[in-house]
Amino acid sequence: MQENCKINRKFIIYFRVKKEEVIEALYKADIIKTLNCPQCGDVLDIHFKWTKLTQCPSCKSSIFLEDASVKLIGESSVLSPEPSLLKIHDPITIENKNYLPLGKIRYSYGRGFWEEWFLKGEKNREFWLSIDEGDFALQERVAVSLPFKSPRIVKAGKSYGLYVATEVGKGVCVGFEGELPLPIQIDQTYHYIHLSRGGGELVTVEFIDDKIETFNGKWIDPLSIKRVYS
Amino acid sequence: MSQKYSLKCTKCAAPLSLLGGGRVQTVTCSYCKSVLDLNDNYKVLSNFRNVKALQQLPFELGMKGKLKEVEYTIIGRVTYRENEFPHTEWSDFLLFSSLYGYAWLTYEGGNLIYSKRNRTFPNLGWNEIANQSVVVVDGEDYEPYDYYKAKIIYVEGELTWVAKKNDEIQFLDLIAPPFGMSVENNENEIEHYKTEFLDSKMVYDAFTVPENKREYSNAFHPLKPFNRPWLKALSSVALWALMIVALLFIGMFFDGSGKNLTYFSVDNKQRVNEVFTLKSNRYLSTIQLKAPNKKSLNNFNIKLKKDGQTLFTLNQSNAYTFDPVTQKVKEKLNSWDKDAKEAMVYLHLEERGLYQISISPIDRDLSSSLVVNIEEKKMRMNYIVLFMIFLLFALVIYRLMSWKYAHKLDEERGLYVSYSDSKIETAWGNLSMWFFIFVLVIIILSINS
Repeated sequence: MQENCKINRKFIIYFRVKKEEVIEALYKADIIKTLNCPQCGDVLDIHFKWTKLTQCPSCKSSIFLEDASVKLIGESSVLSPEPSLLKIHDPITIENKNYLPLGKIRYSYGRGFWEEWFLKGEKNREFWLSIDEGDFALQERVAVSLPFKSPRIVKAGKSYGLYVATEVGKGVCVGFEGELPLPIQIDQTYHYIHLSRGGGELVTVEFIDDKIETFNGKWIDPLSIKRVYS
Repeated sequence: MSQKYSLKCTKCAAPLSLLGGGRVQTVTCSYCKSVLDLNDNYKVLSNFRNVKALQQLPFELGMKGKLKEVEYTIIGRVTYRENEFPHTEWSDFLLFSSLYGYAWLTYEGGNLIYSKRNRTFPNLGWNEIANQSVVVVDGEDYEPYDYYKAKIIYVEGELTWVAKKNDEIQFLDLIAPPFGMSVENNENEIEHYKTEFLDSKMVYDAFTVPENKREYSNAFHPLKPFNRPWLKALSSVALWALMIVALLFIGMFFDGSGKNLTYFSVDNKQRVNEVFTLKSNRYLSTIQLKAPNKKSLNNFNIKLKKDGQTLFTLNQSNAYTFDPVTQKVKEKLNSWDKDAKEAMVYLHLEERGLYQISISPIDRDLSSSLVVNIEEKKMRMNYIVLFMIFLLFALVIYRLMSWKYAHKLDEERGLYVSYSDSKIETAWGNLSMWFFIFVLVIIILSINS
């Protein structure tokens, strides 16, 4: 009995090491290019062709990527650790499609916050997984023809063309981790609108001042998210 | 996502702690029962101090349990009372998971329903939903079932919305047991929840509810699926078995309906010896005795012989079979009833060939007569008929209970729902089955008579 326990324990340790090795190997295989942090000189692994912003894993500096050059834009705050289904660089599957989480942005809405996870999908596509207290929405940044002239006039519960505005809100960007395909501004207030066409389809409109971005996707069941190497 | 807070009640200064994440809007002080608004500096919104004592429920705030693969903590409770008679009361417990967010566990007299916010419901207005015969959500057909209004009568712990005493909410329930959709309409918005009827024991076990606090219900609930797996399986097996037995029955009916060997009559004047040849020993052989009255039948002795050896004797008081070699009594059998006018003797005659039947009057002075008919290849249908009746019963009982459940569901339904095509098809399916059973019963009865 004692002997068996020892064998099992060894096996578990061996398995864990192997799993981490596998993830590490995959993570390295996904690196497109490497740069050096202008602040501390540490290596910055870039995994996405159109990455615009990354955080140095050593000194936590925010680094803006412009063409072939890198530009230090300051030290970013470290996000407080919170329980999450996702982990940066730990691949997941959603409805049989693979995604690699590369970064996340956290927005605060007062007493709580939500997170927008940047996922690299198959064929190097950009996806966003919004996680807010058990509500999960998977979306792509695409141009959507909006049924109103200005997002500022939209009210929750009202219909606009084929859409119903199900939520109108705002949040303050409190920080980010990993690498992102778009620049963000810490402490900036972002406004958003959720437009539903029914049946789980979702269009999100994000706007700061006059700049509007649209995301199209759907609500997903969090239980459908599986870690590839769990 | 959650951030942990600790605060004091602005009414009584009792310590409060928040467990339920960033969407919590109100918290009720467990001491003074004041509802505090977290969006407005913990302002007191209402108070439940004078609410009459409510029934003790099996669940309490702070209990933890795993439901639907998710670890939840009970963080709040809302108790509703339906506006209309019989003023049904139920309690919704708010569940929170830091990974999977919020869900509800509804407790209604021992029945437990799990529900979670649904985002895939089609964009239908309140009245549009009630007028649909079926609403399709995620490929599942939900039938509108009931519409009702209820008021909040009690609140405890944390809630993700501002709930005040006597706030009125409209509910529209759609069902596809064990699942359902609950559409809730308050003053501000319409929300959709996917509901599921859960096994009470499983939930109590998950939250480790003490045995003495557990309550179970056998009462009807629209989401409680009609689930009789054993009866359903028996019914399916019975249907196939009945078809096979019916075919066998028809085959045997034609093959084993009997072939006449001899037919004669006897009276009280003399003894009659009749010889017949048994050509087939398949199935049974029968001796049918028919008299005009009971005295006539009781006035005869019957003896069956082969090659001079007695095989069988019979009169009203006793019946025996004999060993053909030793001529000793092999078995004593029951004879016919005293008041009978007719008797049918089934014999398993193993050997083919010549047989002799002797029929002699007991009292030659008693005027009596008897008609005797001997047949071979006669199948005794009694057992097969009994088996068919059992199969019929097994076939019908599940469908009868299922029909009774559907009837009860319709009786309790608060909304009229027009019959869908599938329902009509099912109705036709049931009609054909009843017709089949009816025809079978008629055949059995006619053969038995």
